[in-house]
Amino acid sequence: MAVARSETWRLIIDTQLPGARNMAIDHAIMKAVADGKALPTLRLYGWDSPTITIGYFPNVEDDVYIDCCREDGVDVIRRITGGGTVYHDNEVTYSVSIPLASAITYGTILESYQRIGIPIVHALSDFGLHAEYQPINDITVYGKKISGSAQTRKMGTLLQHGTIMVETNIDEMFRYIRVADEKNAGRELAAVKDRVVTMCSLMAPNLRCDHLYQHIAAAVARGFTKEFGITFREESLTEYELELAVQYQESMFGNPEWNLNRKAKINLKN
Amino acid sequence: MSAVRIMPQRWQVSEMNKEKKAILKNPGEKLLRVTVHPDGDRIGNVRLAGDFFIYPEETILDIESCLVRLKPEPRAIIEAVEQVVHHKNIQMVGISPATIAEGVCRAMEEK
Repeated sequence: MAVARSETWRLIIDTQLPGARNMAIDHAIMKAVADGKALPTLRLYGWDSPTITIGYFPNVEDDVYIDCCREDGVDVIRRITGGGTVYHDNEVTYSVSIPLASAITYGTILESYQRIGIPIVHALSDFGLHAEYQPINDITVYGKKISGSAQTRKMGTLLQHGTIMVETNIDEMFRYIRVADEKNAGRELAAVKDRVVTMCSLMAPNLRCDHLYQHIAAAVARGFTKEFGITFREESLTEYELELAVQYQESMFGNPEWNLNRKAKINLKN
Repeated sequence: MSAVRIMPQRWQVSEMNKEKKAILKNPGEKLLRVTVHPDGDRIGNVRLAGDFFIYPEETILDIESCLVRLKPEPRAIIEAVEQVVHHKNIQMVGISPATIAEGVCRAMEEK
């Protein structure tokens, strides 16, 4: 379904960065788009080391084995988006920052999750994977989750970021993340692990995320072009965004008070 | 949606201010964890946590605040939450006023 045939977006293909930096950049882009200082933006990025992000609402102690994370140097970063707790490792992550006035955001929030998920489905199909959107915020292949996403809406702008698991170590994931029994529906941990899947395990176990990264990033951009007719202009972050990102990293995503406590009061200039 | 149970109104004095918790995952929704500090037979401070979505996110504090001093009765909780949802123009995904009521009542019932 094409809804925005004439839109031009900015495309940023980043490298692997620290978790706090990644979340600060997404927040900075959202603010810049809200302020009319940046085009709608699709950003693709990775993580320089295994990192956990936790949604806006969960308690860290409920969802994360925090002692294991500390021992192994796995950062735990709270997102500004809702949703659950995510282990980021050898994946491609995308973020979409667009005005709420964009044609893509019309309808309900649930519909916009689906609409933004479809380009990811297209991207996976470029690698021969038959993926499907599963409400509320998942994409599955053969019924197993390969991608999840989370969205916030602030300042007249939508930010959605999501993962594409490429070579994620599923065993390591559950070394750091707690899954409530109520969510398991009584399943053993092995069965819970079996509900997620990576691109490499489906395609060829000897493939590496590093080798696929640029191809997947390009496929995601193509997916948006295919679905919405978006034209991309590949650009970097602006000075304004870089300054904001430093501020957000210091005040929020690099700050244990923000990361560990949802009710932390953070004073921001912007 | 499973039925919401009405909590018993009698409390042991020693249990009155004990932190009480409930966790539920209704079909088609996200996980909700409720932590309540009872204030006598009424709801005291409440914390709602989980992998749901509330827009704007910060209004979770308004939802939690509107529950304080209510009796743990589903209809009263649903009405209070719906009033805040309407007043603050809140949108919920993966959670609902009825689920919040169910979670809070279950938590208050915890022995």
